[in-house]
This record gives sequence, structure tokens and C-alpha cells, in this order.
Amino acid sequence: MTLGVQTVQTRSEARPFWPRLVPRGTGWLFVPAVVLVVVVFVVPLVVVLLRSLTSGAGAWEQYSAVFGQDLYVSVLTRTVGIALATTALTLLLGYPYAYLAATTTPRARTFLLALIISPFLVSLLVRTYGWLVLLDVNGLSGWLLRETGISDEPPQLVHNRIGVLIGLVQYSLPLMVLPIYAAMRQYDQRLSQAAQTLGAGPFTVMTRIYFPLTLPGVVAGCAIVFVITLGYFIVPAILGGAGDTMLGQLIAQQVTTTLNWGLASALATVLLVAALIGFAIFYRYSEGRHVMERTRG
Amino acid sequence: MARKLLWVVAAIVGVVSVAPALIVIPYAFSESGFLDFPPGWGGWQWFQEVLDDPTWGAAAMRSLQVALIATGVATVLGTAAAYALVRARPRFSGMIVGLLVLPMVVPIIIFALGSFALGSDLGLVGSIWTLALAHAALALPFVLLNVRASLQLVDSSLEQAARSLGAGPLSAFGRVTLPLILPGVVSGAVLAFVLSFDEPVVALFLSQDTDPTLPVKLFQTIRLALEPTVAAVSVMLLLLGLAGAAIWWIAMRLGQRRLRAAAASVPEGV
Repeated sequence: MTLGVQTVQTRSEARPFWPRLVPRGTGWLFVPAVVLVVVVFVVPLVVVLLRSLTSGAGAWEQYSAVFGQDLYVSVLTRTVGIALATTALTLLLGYPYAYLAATTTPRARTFLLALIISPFLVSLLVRTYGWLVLLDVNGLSGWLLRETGISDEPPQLVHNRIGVLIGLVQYSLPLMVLPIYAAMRQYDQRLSQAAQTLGAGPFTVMTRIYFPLTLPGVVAGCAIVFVITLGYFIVPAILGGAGDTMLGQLIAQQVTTTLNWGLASALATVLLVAALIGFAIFYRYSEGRHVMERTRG
Repeated sequence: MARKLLWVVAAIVGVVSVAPALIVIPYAFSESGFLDFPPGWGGWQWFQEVLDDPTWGAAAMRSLQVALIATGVATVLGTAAAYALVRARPRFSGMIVGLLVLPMVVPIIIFALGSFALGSDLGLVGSIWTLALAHAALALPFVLLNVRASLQLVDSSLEQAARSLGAGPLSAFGRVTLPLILPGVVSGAVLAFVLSFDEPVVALFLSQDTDPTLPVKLFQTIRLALEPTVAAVSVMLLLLGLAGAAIWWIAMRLGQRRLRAAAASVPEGV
């Protein structure tokens, strides 16, 4: 018995009795992940950047084409316009939805959250194909309009801007609802009660207290939806028509059909800058900041 | 009144969320090759056609291989990184996390273009491994964030206790920490698998036309014609998605039970 205690004491002089909280060397376990992301992800982005600068006569030749030629400028403005419209429509549907989910009974909340994330279970291509079938003049939407007598000649809802917007809004809804919902769940209901006791009406409470306090979630949701929509390629390619070409499609086209690498790279770099600005906003207002503070200790 | 209006909006969102997935089901049993509504009843002919066409099977097989490699790489590297960042807290942790989540926030078309540029210079386009590693980089942030969230819930003194009772670092991790963070690891892995299996854009750039993955083949087929075979493939994918969700749900339930049991077995103040 005594002997055992002594052994421990002798060993404790050599090294602490308690093992290190974190085994030696584990601090470097993040290195393989960093190597993967740098080699496989960051290097290709640098290649794009370099090609955009080196493939013309001067460094800015491709960029002057991007911002100087009507065709490219119109695709750029159209892309930004579609992304803004998608963000606005998604916010218009997503904010009330998140509010309902945040304020209803636990059972209804579970149902609403399951419903909003259910599209993640379904392949994007399956959903896009579904819209194509659903929105076609001869599909369910046209049939419903004819049968109910609303319209004898139902409008075509795909292969045009409406189809693109519907597809993009559906794709973006969960990305908008989840950050807003998270912000709303953190809201302290007593603030509303306090304001009401002090004489504020429901409208004032909503606009001057609730909305400003849930704004970080709104900004985060809008930033992520805007950025994702800017670069989207599959949805407009399937649901859009000839007049709905977006930036992502133009980039793909420049590489696969005209083999214009320089221009494709310049377009991609413009997109990257826009996305990084969006990400900075997202990071500023969302979990990213808390993540940083937490990991710093 | 206002409450009713909210439910109307919720109903619209709900219909928009599920309608395009549900509509493919009747069309998978469509009578004609056209997509008129109502589709009629044509039995299992489109499923038969998909099963008879070897290119669908080959595409599914290729997607499966790519997704399994990508999931393996992303899960191992992502879990290791999460462990280091949560437990050892190396310097510049915030910047490292920022770098590692980059693939989640950069528009995918830019990465597709860049990896195609680099891949064709190095002669790597068309290889399963190139695409799998590209997908692994895309999936890594999802594993990292999920495992990190799990790790933050697990008391690090449990592992310390195992070590002080003589377990080596690997055995302490494998027998104490890993079982407790398993729900995070599994949900990260499921997300990684889904992301890779369903990823069309990078796959489109990094595949040869003759050797597409399943999403690329779907994309090509949808662009050419609106055949009900696509609806039949869609129904198979829906079933697969439901199976994946079931696995994920079971893993989460098991994990919660384990965490609770572990918390109960540790006396107060340890």
C-alpha cells in the first residue's frame, strides 16, 4: 500500500501525475485538413485569378472586356438583378415563416422546421426537374388553371424568368429561414412586454424592437442567399430560357464552347470578389463572429 | 387575423418546398412518354427502362465511388481538425476555421472553373480520385462544423480520466471521446455523402462526357428531353434520401442517449 503511493510520488517528480489535458502533438491534427483545402481548393482559385490577369495583352484586358462589352454587362446586371429579386422574395416568405416557427407551439415548430429542411433530402436535379414538369403549360399548373376556368390559355411558367425565380426561391428558402429563426429564438420576449407596459403598440414593438434585434439573422440570411444565387448555374440552365443566361452559365459557356479561358477567369474573379464581400457581411453578422471569439478562448 | 396570414405564408412555403419533389412520383408511372397532366398509369415501364440501360447504372456506380472516397477523406480530416481546434486550441484558430470553411462560401462555379483549369493542365480530368478530392474539400467544412459542435458538448475531463487510468491517447480517444461525438461525426459524414452524391457542377467540369456521374447524367438528360425515365430515377433518389434521413435520425437518437448516460455516470464536481 505504502509502496504504491511512493511509486506514484516518484513518478510525479519525473512528469505530472495527471496526463496532459490534450495529448502531445494533437495541436497539429488540423494540418492535413488545411493541406487538402489549400491544395485542392485555394490553388485552383489562384489559378483562376492568374489566368484572368495573364491571358490578355495587358493585365486588365479581360476586365475591360467584361465591363466594356454590352453582352457581358447585360449578363452581369441581369445576374445581380435576379439575385436581388430572389433575395427579396425569399425574405418576404422566409421572415414570416421563421417568425411563426419561433413563436408557435413546440410540436408545430418541429413540423415547420422539418418542412423547411426537407428539400435538402431531395436531389437538386430532381427538384429542378419537378418544377419543369409542374410549371409546364401541359403540366399540373396549366391543367389546374384550365380546369378551374381561371385561364383558357395558361401562361408558360418555365423557360423564362418566372421559372428561374421560382426555382431559385425554393433553393434559397432554407438558407434564409434558418439564420432568421436562430436570431428570433434568441430574442427575449420580456423585451416586448416591457415595451408594451411602457405604452408601445404592437406595431411599434415590431418595428422598433423586434425587427432591429432580429436584424443580424436577416442580414446573414440575405447575404448567403444573394451570394449563392449570384453563382448559380444548374437552375437557370434548366428552368431559364435564352434570355435568362446568368453569370455562372456564361462562365461555363466561355470555357466549354468558345474556350475563352481569360474571359471566363475574369468573370469568375468578379464573381469571387462579389461573393467575398457578401461573405464578409455574413461573417460579421452571423455565427462566424461568435465562432472566432469562442475558438480564441 | 395576423396569425392566420402567417399560416397562409407558411402554407405557400410548404407547398413550394415539397411540390417539386412529390410531382415526380406520378410521372415515374406515366403512361405516355410526354409530360402532360394527368400522366395516367403506365406501370413500371420507366423503371424497367432505367434498369435495362447500363449507362444509368454506370453513372450511379461512379457517383457512389466518388461519394464514398470523398466522405472518407472529409470525415477523417475534418474530425481530426475539429479535435485539434477545440481541444488543443492552436494559435490562429479563428483564421484556420475561416480558411477551412472557405469551400462552403465561394460560389461553386469558380471552384469548378479553377479545378478544371488546373486539372486539364496536369492531365487529371476524368479521374475518379480528382473529383473525389474536390468533393472532399467541399464537404470538409460540414464535417468540421458538426464535429466541433459535438466536441464542445463533451466534457474533456472524461478523456483525461481515461488517460489517468492508463489508457493511451488513441485508446482514450477511440473508446471515450469518439463514441460520445459519434452523432456529430455521423451527421457530418451523411452531409458529406449527400453533398458529393448530389453535386453536379464540379462533376460536370471534371468528368469526361462519356463517363458522367449520376447528377451530370441527369442534367444532360433533362436538357435533351423530358423523358419519364428521369422521373423514375428521381423516385429512386427520393427513396435513397429517405433512407439517409432515417440513418441520420437513428444516429442522433443513439448519440443523445449515450451523452446522457455518460453525463449520469460522472459524479458531480469531476
